[in-house]
Amino acid sequence: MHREHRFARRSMSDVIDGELSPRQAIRFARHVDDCPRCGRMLRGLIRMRIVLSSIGQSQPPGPSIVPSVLERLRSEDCGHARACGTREVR
Amino acid sequence: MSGEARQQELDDVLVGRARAGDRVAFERLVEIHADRLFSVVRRLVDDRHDAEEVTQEAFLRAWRSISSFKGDSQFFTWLYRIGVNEANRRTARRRAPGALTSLDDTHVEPVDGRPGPARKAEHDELRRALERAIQALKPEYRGPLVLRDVEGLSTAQAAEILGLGEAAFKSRLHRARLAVRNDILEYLPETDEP
Repeated sequence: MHREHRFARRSMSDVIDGELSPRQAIRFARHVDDCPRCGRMLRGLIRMRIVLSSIGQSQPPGPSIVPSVLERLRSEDCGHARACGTREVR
Repeated sequence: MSGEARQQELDDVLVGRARAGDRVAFERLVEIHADRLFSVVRRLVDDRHDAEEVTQEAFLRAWRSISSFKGDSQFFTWLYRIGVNEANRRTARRRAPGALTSLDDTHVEPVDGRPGPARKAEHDELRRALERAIQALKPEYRGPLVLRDVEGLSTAQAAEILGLGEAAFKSRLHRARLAVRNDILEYLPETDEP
């Protein structure tokens, strides 16, 4: 039991990422079915990951960074030998 | 062709032109990738101003070294690696206790579509707790968590950006997830002890 518990704890990230082999997945599922603590831990990690993902899908507030990057690029470019001779093609 | 494949194809064309010295093509790459890179960097450095400078610097470095980009990896992977390295340099120079990245100004919709202020309040509370937990992570653990779980990159992409082998990356990611989870246990009602 302790061995299976340790295996389950070690495997939590791989489970979330879908990176366990089929055999390992069966082993993990067997343990979690019998271990409420690991079941709760898994559900907590999954919920946590869903919220983290939603943070990533949201747009950062404020204006786009694009104009300031282009401005910096153009201003530095003028002092850069390569860029001043750049051929611009659309 | 999937959206991702189309994006990759467009990147390849633009990178090819940029390598030949076409700055307009590179500027198109800036338009495509800058805001997303900024959102990643924003979570790795101390404040918005630093994140803007790091993002600008990353693109400047990318433009100056675009001729050395061989296409062995995807352009955005190469670009993110430059950005993450620059962010790490900035963080190492400036880091002070309690002055880590804040995600407080990131607007996030509720996890599921269920309406209701109670649900949104619960979600916002968990999000804020996660933000604090991410802030408390050491940089070596924060990068894997941000790239994999917040940005949704694959293990291989995130590991490559951070310059880690997959085994080392997975180990750091696992530790980061457990550390964050331990910090937010009280917000996970179905969860018990570590």
